[in-house]
Amino acid sequence: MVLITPPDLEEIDADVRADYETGRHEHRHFDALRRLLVRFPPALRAADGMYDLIMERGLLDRRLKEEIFVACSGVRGCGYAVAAHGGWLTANAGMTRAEVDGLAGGDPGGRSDPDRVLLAFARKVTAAPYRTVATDIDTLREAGFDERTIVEALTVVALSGWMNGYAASLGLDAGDSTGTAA
Amino acid sequence: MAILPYPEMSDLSDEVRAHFERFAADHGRPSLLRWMLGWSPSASEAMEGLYHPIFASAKLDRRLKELLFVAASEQRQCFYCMGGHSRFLVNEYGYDRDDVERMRRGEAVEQMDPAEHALVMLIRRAATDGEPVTPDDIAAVRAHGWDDDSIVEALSAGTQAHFTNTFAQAVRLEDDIEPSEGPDGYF
Repeated sequence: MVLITPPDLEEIDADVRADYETGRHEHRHFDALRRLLVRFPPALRAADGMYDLIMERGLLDRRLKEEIFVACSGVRGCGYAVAAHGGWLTANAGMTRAEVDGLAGGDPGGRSDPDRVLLAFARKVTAAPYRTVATDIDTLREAGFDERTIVEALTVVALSGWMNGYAASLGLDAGDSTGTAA
Repeated sequence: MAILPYPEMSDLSDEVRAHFERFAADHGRPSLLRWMLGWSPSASEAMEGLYHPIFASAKLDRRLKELLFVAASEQRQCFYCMGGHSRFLVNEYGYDRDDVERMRRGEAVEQMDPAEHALVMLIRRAATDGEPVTPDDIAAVRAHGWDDDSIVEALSAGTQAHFTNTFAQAVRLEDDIEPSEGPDGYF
């Protein structure tokens, strides 16, 4: 149950409304959260900006980042984010709903060995970030990842925590996600 | 000691160097978090666009949002984040170190009014894994006069902590800005 009602879009400032509308199509898979963040416009703008920077740019491909996001959200039990980002994977990466649910539950499916290593690391960090050790980094290096890609992956884990935190605080669940994305 | 090496200046893109220079102009040098994020220009830019907009005074003032940030970081036991921002509260707002430690643990202290304390408790709850915020939690802060816009703003300080706590803990960042001072090496 959503704990705070979204504001009436007809009653918000024009510039905030414009920011909301601008990102509405691209980020429609987490529109319910964006509607609530209209209540604090800097967070809405940060959400859109961080999403573009962290999920769409960099060295790791978008699909792997979305898979990391779903895997981490599954560890945290965030049905909202699993549905939202799983929606991106089903709409854009050919994954089935069952594969998304498996990924959220810890099954990496038919992914490559390096991707499995990275997904396992992401799940470990999500469950207990303070338990990482130097050998985790060694394992990632052996799988072909370097500092740049490791930091990039960790920011995806952190971003998922950011969204999962909002969802858990605002009462968003799987039913609040549109489940599809551009 | 961090489990990833920090980038050398020669590893940084021009864009990241510009971020560092802006941060250093305000704080003397980049924080270790910023330094480590320098490996990824897009991550560095994301942090650049996150921190100041969220922490700038709006309905809630900067001081209160820093308090909420350290409360969330304490709940998650992120020593790097709670240390740096606790020190900021002492240096910039004149709080006593012991009072900051009590406030971030959720204790009621004279320097924090009951309405602010209610927000701290909400943010600590929101930072507790496996215990989602409930309607009663929201009702408790509304009863202290906070409207829904303010509640979302407060939660934003807590979710920002979630972002930085996760990253800082995962790479095991050392305490920042000043030499270690507490018995465990952190404030």
